[in-house]
Amino acid sequence: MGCFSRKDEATVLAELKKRYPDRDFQLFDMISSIAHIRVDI
Amino acid sequence: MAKAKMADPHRQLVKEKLEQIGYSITEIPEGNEPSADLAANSQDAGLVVEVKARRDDIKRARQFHAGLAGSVAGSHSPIVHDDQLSDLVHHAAKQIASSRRRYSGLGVLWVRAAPELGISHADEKMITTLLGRRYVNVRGSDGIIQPALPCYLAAYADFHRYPAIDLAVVEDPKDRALLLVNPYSCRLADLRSSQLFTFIAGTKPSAIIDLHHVAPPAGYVLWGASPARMKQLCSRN
Repeated sequence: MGCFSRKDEATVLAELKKRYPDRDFQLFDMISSIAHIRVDI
Repeated sequence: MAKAKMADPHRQLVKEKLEQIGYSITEIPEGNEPSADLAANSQDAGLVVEVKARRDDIKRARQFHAGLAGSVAGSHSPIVHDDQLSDLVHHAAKQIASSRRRYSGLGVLWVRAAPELGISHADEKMITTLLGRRYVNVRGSDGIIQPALPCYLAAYADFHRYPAIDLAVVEDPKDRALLLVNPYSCRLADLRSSQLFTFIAGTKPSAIIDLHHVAPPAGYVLWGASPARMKQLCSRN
């Protein structure tokens, strides 16, 4: 087991495809978006 | 000379939670060397716990407090491996390793998201940082695109660098916790029989992320192939 080096997108997708040849994969990261609107009462 | 650490509400809260599970707690005093916060004893292997609270909205809160009515304080950032959190993990691993010379037990990093404005993604970022998590959309042979799934060990995974941390508890701003198993821990059998693990497994098994038991549709795990590296890490600890 080992996964220290970050795998680039192509490597990750190739590994997934090798393990699951009948599937297609699209890799992405989640994004956090926060907006606070100041309302003074 | 060892002296008691300053009062910390997060440490106190974790102490109380562990006591509720059945651990008896010793607060580890501050010494010349880095040290963890708590030693938790029970019938099992025990725990050496470092508590970290993460306030990731200081800049946003400052903008908010300085702004006029109607102004927006916002942020936008990808949930990816985070260098600041990685630094925090690094320090925690050192503290745990140092305290384990005196206190025996599994190394536990306990992270609490503690935002000033109440909303934070520090917990999600920490999970990503420890487990190298990214996401995939999958289209099967039927052509249908399935809901997004996590893909673990698809990026830097700090658990790999720090096997001294056997478990991590990650709490979101509402105190909902996830228990993360370090898949590279040399004490997997001990940690799975620990009181902390068995308590969560018995009350809320869905709160445990143990990559050795993750497979589609729960997620994908991109294991590498280096048993020699694993052996090397274990011989160091």
